[in-house]
Amino acid sequence: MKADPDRFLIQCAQNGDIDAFGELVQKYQKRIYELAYRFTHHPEDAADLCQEIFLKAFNALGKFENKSTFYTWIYQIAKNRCIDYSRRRSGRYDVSFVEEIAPDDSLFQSHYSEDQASRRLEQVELETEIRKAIEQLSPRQKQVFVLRHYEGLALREIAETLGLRVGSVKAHLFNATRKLRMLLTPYLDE
Amino acid sequence: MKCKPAEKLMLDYIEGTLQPKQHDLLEIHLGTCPHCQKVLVDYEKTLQLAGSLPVKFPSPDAWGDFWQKLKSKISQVVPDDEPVWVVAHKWKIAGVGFVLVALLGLAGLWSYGVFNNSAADPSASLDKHIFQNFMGGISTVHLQEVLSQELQRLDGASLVWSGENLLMEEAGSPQPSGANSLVGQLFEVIDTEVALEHFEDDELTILVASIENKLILASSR
Repeated sequence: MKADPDRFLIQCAQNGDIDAFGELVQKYQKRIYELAYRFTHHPEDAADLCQEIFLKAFNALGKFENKSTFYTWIYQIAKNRCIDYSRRRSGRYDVSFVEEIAPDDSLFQSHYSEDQASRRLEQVELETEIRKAIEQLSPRQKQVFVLRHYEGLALREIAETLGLRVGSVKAHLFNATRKLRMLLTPYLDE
Repeated sequence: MKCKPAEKLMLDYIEGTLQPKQHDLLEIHLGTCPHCQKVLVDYEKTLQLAGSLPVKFPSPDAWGDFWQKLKSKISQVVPDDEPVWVVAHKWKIAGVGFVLVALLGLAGLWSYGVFNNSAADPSASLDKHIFQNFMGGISTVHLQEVLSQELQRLDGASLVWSGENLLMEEAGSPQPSGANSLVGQLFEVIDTEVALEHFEDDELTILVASIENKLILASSR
C-alpha cells in the first residue's frame, strides 16, 4: 500500500493536536463537501452535513489504524453519512426543497451583452430543473446515480457500499436514468 | 432484438461495458430502428446534462469559517480520558456488561417467579384481567377502602352471592384468588346493602351500577 502522505498529521491529531486535524480538514473539505452537495443540492445543508462528517471522523480518529489512507477512510464515513441523509429524507421528497438559484447580479451589469445574460439565465433555469429532477428519484436511485455518475464509483463498489447485488445496482441505475430522461425531456431536444 | 431489451442495454453501451455479442446485436437493432436511435441519443444527453450540474459552494464568508465552526464543535466534545486498554477493548467490555445485565435480569425474573406466589399463581394474571376488563375505572385501593368500611359497618355479615360464579365462569378460571375474591367480597357487601336497603351511599350505588353493567356486557359476549 502506498504510504499515506497525511500520516504525520494523523498521528498529531490522534495525540490531541486539533490544529493538525484542522489541516486535514482544510485539505479535504472541498472534496467531502462536493459529495455532500450531490446528496443535498443545497449549499448550507451540504456544509452542515460536511461538518457532521468531519466531527464524526474526529471522534473516531482513535480507531483509525493506517490500514488505508486518511482520505479513503473519511470518504467511507462521508459516503455512509450521505446515504443515511438521503434515507432519512425518504418519503418527504419535495422539489420545492431544491434551492432556486437566483441569477447573480452580475448578469444585469453592463459588461454582459443582452444575449449573454439571456443565455446565462437559461443555464441557471436548466440547472434548477436538473436538480429538481434528481430530487424526484427514489433515495436508492439517487444514491446509486450519485455514486456512479458524480463520484465515479464502479458498480461493484456501489454494490458493496449499499449492500446490494451488482444486478440490483444496475437496475436502480437504469430506472434512475430512465426517470431523469422522462423528466428532462423538454431540455433534450435543445 | 426488440426495442425493450435493446433499451436496457443502452447504458452499458454508452459506458462501453457491453459484451461483444450484445454490442453487435444492439448495433444491428439500432441500425434499423429510428425509435431506439432517438432513445439512445436521449440517454446520452440526459447523462450529459446531469453530469454538467455544477456544485454550488456556500458564500465565501461561510466557507472561510468552516474550520473555525468545526473547531468550536470539537472543543465542546468531552475529552476522552479513558485509558488505552478501555478504548481498545470497548466493544468487548460492552459485550461482557450486556451479558452480565442480561443474566442478572433473568435471575431477577426467576427469583420473582419463585418467591412471589401471586406471580407464580396462574390466577394472578386472571385477577389483572378482571380488573382491567371488568373493573376498569375503579382502582383497587379505592375498592379495598370501600370494602373495608362496609365490612366493618356490617360486622362481617356473610352472604353468598351467585353473581360471583358468573364472573368466574366468564373469566374462565375455576380457582380464582386475589382480585377475584376481592370482587366476590365486594358483591357480598353489595348484596347485603341491597338486602338491608342501605342505598344512601351514592358511591356504592355508582359502583354497583358500574359492576353490573360490566357483568351484563361480559355475560352477553
